Amino acid sequence: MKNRLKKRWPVWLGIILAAWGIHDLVLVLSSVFVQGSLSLPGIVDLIGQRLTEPGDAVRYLDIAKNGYTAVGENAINLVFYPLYPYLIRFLSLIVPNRALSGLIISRVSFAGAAVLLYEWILYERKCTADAWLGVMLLSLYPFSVFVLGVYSESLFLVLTIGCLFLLRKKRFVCAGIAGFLAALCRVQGMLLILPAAYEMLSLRLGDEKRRFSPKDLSVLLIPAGFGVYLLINYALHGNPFQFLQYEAGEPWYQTTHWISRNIALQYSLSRQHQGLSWIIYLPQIALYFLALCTMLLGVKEKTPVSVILYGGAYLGFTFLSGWMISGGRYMLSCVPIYLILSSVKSASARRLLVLAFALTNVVYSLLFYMSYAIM
Amino acid sequence: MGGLLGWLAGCGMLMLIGILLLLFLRDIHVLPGALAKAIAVTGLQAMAVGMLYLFACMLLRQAMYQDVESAEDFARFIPGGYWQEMASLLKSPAWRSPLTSLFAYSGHFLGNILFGQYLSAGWALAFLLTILSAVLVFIRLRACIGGEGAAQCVFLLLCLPSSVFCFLPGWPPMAALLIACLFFFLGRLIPRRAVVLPRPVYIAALAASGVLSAFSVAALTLGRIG
Repeated sequence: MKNRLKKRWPVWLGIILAAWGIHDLVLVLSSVFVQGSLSLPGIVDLIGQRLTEPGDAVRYLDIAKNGYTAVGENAINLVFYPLYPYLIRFLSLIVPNRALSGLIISRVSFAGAAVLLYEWILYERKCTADAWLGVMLLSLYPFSVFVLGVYSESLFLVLTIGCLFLLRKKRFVCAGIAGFLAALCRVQGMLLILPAAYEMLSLRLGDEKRRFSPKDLSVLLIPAGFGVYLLINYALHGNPFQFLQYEAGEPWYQTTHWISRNIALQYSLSRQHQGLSWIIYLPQIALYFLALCTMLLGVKEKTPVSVILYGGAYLGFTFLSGWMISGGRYMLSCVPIYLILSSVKSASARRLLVLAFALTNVVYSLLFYMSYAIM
Repeated sequence: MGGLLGWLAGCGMLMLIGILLLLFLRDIHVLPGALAKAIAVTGLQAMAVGMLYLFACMLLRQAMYQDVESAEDFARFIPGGYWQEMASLLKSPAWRSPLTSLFAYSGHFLGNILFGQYLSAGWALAFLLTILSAVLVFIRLRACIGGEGAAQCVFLLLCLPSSVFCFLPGWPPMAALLIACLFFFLGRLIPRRAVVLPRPVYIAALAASGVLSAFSVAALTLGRIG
């Protein structure tokens, strides 16, 4: 590990600076658009207004300050998983400002996610150009503006990429730990049990036919992470699935329907609410089909089946939600997309991909900073 | 448009699940790689043919009567008492004939898994049974007359004028599966010999089947049969 760090730290530093740099550049340019001038107080103000106050950010900060409660209007904060807000709480013992702690955790996690993604693609494809393309696509993803805010996206990204990478390297114990933490961070973390089980079964029943080892049980840490969250529900309310009741109520009104009905509903809503059609509904529909086509491309390009399995499961699980308005943000963490798209061979296709991602990233980030309904 | 997008989205996801299952069976050596690929191609062909038939029905109905509101509600754009009854049986199954009831109960069960989408489940089950039938016939024929001959035969079977019924919810896909299973087990008696139709003969047969199928689709949509 020490030797690897010694050899690769310039590359890793370059990746981190590029990943941060893209978002910081977009932030600075957006500040000029929103406030009409370029100033440090203006940028800080914009960060405060848009990255630490709206939407889920205020709920994470409330959990970090007060923990979960069983009564009162903040009882519904239970729907937010504990890892990220409790990390904020822990860091705020050193950094006195909770919002700043959240921003630091997100920034460091995003740096880790970019480096891990680079190393993973390099491990799979043995090509630095492909690895750089994957990192660029992650950084330029249309709705990646959330990676530097007080949101759990970056933390979930680094844990998911870490888990999948470790599974591919057959390091099941470490993958189990990463998966456990991912399952404590977001509900989709639980889906990591699928690629874990696949890798394990392929090892036992496939070409290598390795004997069963007690270390294989470490993949059970992944559902155990979700189990801990259920225990929190039970400890507070006596019902391990209390979070489902809160999600079904105000303000989320979440339902579960088959994908075809939800996509049809998204289209119908886009016709009813013209102002939101290009901001919320049509991008969600487009992202579904783009992700699905990407998974099929992965089959053609012989991407590891466990990775496609996770991508398909993540996509399906995300779009089972009936009243989804944050699909763009959720699909940011569908990590297999970046691995599969990095395998595109054609130089012009690669350029088009990067350009398309960059243009849509700037447009949606700008709209986000201008307080449009991107959440 | 929304219904069509939803339908494509749901089909796409089911297709991805099917492909992943095949890849898993290949990775754990239940299926040889070449056979898994051939099964996937046959399945995709069957699905594409079914979707073409369905699209043709909807197009014709919409062009003539402008009353196709949803791709899901087949009883609206395929007239005939049997399809109306099938639509209600999927939601509330009851005993009719053996194959119809088996389909209705299976479709209802699948509809419960798909969060109450019973009509979509009916479509999915019809397509699944027909794809399975095509794959079973392909596997048996491949062992008897070779891969290329088998692919030609299966595609011709899918283009027969009556095959449109195999993609509709009801007894026909169940019957197709039963016949395919029977063929799969009894087909071992067919002597092994590589057989490939000459290309001009194959194209001519395909064209003739296509034209006859188009007429049967039109007759079905306009209520002349079924």
